[in-house]
Amino acid sequence: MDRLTLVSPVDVRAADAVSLAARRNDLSGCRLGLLDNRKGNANVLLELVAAELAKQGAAAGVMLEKRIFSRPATAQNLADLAASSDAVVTAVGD
Amino acid sequence: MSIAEVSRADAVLDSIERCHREGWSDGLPVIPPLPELVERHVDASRRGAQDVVGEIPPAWGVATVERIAANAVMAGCLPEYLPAVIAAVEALLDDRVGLHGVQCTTHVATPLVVYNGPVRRLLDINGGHNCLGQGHRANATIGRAVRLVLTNLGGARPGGMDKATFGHPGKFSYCFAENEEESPFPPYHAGEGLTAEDSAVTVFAAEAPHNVNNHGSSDPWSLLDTVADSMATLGNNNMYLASDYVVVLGIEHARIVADHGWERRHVQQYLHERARLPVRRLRIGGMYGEDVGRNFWARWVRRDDPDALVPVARAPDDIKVFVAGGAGRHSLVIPGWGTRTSTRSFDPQGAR
Repeated sequence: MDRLTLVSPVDVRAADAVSLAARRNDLSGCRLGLLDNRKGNANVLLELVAAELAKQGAAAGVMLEKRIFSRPATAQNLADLAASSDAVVTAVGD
Repeated sequence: MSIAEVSRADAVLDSIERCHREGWSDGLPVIPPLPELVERHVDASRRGAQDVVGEIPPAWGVATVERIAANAVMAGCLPEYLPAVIAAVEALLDDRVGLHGVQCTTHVATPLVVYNGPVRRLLDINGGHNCLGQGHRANATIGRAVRLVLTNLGGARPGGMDKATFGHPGKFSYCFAENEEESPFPPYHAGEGLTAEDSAVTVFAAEAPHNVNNHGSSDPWSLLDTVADSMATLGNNNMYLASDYVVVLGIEHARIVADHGWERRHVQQYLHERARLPVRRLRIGGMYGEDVGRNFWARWVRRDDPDALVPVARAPDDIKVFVAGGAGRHSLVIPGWGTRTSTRSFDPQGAR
């Protein structure tokens, strides 16, 4: 059977571009940034996560709240977090 | 049957199955995007195959004309549909639609696509009987092509980055035309800064349509009270986000309103006045429950007054009124996800 050639309907480059951040092995002295998406309970979840990570040595850092939860974080949000944090955790509340 | 014929049939079936395996389909069989077929669609658009229409969130896949054409072929579109598909994709990239969130939300929302102007007749897009149902190729395949673009180029696959708790049947296709010929009002797009002679597309991140049955009213007040009551329900996002809202008046309902001298703007004003719920009821639902101060209501709503009435949209103009459908005393209300409609003109013969 001859195999038919197809035009790809996807952008393979984009599909491959998404990856998880590398896991940190040590949180001692790590400044922890938190990004709240502004949905209900996102802040509750993040504070619990931060408390757990503090037990492993993470230092409290900034907690930012997106103005509109359905929008990506702004470039300013990300710049502020990058400037003040060594690691960032985000949570989606619902 | 000859060996050659068996081999050809196997090759066709293999290519269809490959589309399923690759995750390119919406679950239904697709037409394999063979290069010759894709080329015909690209040619019909009178644009270059590698022209970039935009990047589709959340994966930000680059939507070239050729890739959109491949999705349109899979959806079963005719080549001449491609300009209408491209126009819908361009409209969806309007920041007011908030496509990134629409693609990833747990909510049921999916883009509704509505056409106005000459393109409706040129492509035979149904705005009459059963215009949101089955049976019309343009409606079925244009809407399907838009969905395939969003999934394949945006990377929003169910269970992956598409987090929809349920989704709704409009995620297969959600497309109709306004019934301009039987509407008593000027075409919708003529009120959006365009002319009646323009071909236009409007997109909106929308729930499934909810029917409004009113066979009893012969005046606009009681008729539109039925519509308003169907619009203002505790569970829909408009009650908390006050975004745009789409109302589709059936032609018989529209005539009742128009026969009393009402124009589209009067319908919008009346529905904005009547489609409201009190703060005390809204405290039990939505995104924030009792914490009503976090809702995106109009600034003038007194959040500390339990009897204050909250409208479904911030302003009358945010209630978008179309006229469509066939005979029968029904209308539709279509709550939004939480963002805006986007309307733009385009050349249905292709090119910019």
